[in-house]
Amino acid sequence: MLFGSFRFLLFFIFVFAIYYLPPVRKSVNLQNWWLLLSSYFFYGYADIRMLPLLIGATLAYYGIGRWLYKAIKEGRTRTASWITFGGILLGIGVLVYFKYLGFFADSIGSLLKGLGFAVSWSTLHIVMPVGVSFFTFKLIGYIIEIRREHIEPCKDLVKFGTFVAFFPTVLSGPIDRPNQFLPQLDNSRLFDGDFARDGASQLLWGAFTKFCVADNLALLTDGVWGDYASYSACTLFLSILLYPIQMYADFDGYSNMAIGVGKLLGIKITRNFNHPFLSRNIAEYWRHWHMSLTYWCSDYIFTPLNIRFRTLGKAGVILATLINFLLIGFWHGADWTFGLFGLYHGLLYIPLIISGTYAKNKKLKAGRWSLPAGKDTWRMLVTFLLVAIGLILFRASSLSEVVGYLSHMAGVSLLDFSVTAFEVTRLYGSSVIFLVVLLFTLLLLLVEWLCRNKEHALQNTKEKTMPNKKKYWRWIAFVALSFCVLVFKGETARFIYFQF
Amino acid sequence: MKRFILDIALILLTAIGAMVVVVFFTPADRNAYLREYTHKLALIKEADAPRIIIIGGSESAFGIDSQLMTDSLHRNVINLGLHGGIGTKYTLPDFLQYVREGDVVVMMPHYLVDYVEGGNGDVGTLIDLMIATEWRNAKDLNLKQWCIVLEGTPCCAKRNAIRLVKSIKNKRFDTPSDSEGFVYAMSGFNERGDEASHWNQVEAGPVNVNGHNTGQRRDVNNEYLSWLSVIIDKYVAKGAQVLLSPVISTESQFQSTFPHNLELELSRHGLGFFCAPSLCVVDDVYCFDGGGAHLSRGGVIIVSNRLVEALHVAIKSEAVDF
Repeated sequence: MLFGSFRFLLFFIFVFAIYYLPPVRKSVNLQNWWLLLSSYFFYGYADIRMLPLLIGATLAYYGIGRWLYKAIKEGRTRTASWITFGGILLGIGVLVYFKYLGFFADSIGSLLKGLGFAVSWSTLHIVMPVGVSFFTFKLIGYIIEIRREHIEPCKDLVKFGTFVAFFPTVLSGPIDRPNQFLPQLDNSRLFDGDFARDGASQLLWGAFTKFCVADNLALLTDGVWGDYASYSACTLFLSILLYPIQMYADFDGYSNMAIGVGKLLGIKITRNFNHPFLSRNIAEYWRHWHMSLTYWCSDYIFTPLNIRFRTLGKAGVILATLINFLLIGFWHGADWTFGLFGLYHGLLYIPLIISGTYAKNKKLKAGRWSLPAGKDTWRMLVTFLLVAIGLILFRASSLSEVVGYLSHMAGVSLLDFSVTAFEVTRLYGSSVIFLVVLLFTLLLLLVEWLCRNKEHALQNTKEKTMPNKKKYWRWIAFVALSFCVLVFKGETARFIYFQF
Repeated sequence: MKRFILDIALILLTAIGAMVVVVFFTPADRNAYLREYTHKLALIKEADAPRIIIIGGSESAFGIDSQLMTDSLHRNVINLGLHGGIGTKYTLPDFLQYVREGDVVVMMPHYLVDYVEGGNGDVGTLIDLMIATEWRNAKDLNLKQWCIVLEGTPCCAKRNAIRLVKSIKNKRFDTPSDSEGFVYAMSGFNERGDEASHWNQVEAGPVNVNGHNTGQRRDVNNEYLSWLSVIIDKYVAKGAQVLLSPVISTESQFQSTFPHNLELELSRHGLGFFCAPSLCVVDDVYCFDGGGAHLSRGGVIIVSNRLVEALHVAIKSEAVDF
């Protein structure tokens, strides 16, 4: 039941209608129960086999949280530390078992074979539960927050279960923090017209970026990656340039839809992206890309490591950064290519750490003709190119594929645009379709710049005081975007981040 | 909340209205591929006996030389193959009314659209056919077919919108849907219903079947087989001999689409192919396009000759007469 599918639409209309029925909306418990049941139905619909795991993890962490808090209150610091350690280990254990065990077994097997030992074990085939990386991080964060005494454990199991399984975010994030999410479930959510309107417009913008930009670009990037040896160097390069945009449109589109659905239910979800392609260096990029993950890692991995290595000065910061990014890389998947992807980004941080600019956050200002200044534009382009190169590692299934792709790209046809025009037309079936997709992509990039101070492109905080003429234009934009989503929806019915 | 729901409904209805306008008020492509359906109907109505009627998808449209078969079998072979995506639940009942006593009907249901998915057609084709035939037999569509038609409306709007852009570019409002590369058009068919315009085109060679999920296990739709059995009985009741045929394809296409339990399930329903499936399969070098579904001229000749041999035996044999 993917966002944007007819089934999801029916499911959501039903959930929404019951959620705001007078007897339900007047009772916090009923609303929370309804959200929990809907979320379990949604998760079970995606993979019924893994629903017991989600419920089991919720029950376990509910108990651990309360036990930990009791130990803290009774001043048993050592016990509290052990409980925290156990809680973190349990989450990591779930991740390792479902996501990394096969990878470790294969890697150790290859290593032993390389050393001349006769090893014969078959590859493990463990089904990975959907969203496991997201909900385990939520749960680990919950335990750490209790240990740090930033929050008290949730006493209401239904509320806690809703936090873990909340259906807009359970499959692909954003990774919500308990201190931001749980208090919202304390009071009943009455329908707030402005908040819902904002949610609906964010949902629409998300749908446009996902279905019209990402899914249509996927036709080119998937087609080229699937058979890169038969494409010209110029087309391979074009695919590399478009893949970051596709990935951003895909994941940001999903996040916007999730946040929009949350708002329609009166719940504010953590923001996940803040116009990452307007970043002028890699540090700024990571502050604006998949923010719920990077902030999680920054709080629970980087900062503790940085404190531990503080005696080493800048070398300590570099070490903490490299470990942090290595883990971010491996979070995405159990493959060496993901590890290298993380390491690559960690290495890009080193010049910034040495020059002391990695933490600087200078606001982006418009220059002449409302465009970014020349220096900023140049830095944005370089950052984009570095990200695009890194995504080759992310996208490839093996290192030999990375080498193969890059060696084909180094061909003489790098500047042969006519061959690319032919290949792209063949992929899309018509050059006009590709031009329409390109138009959507340019619209997305333009909106990124024009709406850089907004949470999403259609956000409007001044709807009531807006002159009628502007209101009409807004309506036309809504209708045009809805039309594009209906008609120009791409055929790729998958979300890239579902695999993580 | 009422105001909010009204606003959302208004925006969606306006967008849907715009889509409907694009679907129904874009100047028609007079040479659209699916418009050939009307010609196929005229063929089955008017062709002289003794007849061999081939009913299938684009595999038979692009895979048979009916004149070659007519000359060898001394029967009037007509090819009603057009597009697998129409679904045989639309075509077989429609053609039934024009079948006469003594006809030999070779049915070639599609491995995926028919045997696996149930023969109701696919999104994006059925709506195009309905528009091309001015909603012929719309009242006879089942609920699933209506859902497919509705689901296909955005695809149709997309094609029309693209065609409008092309028309503006070309300053001609009758610009066809396919104006780049090989043109799939009504004018490509000959008088016997074969797509003959590709016979002089270059072979594409070995195909990439990534789009067909190679290796995926597919189960046959039993409800469809029961339905097929009933419709065959109706053809037989009209005095026709029905021969169920495997689909014409290249090796890659066959490997990626053939349902693993098809022959077993057919036999459970008292059905069976009149020839071995491998008889209709040719090497990948004979691929013309369509991901391995359409054959080049070389492949057409091989398959037509093989079918002639098989039909020589089958038409005489009482055993295969359902």
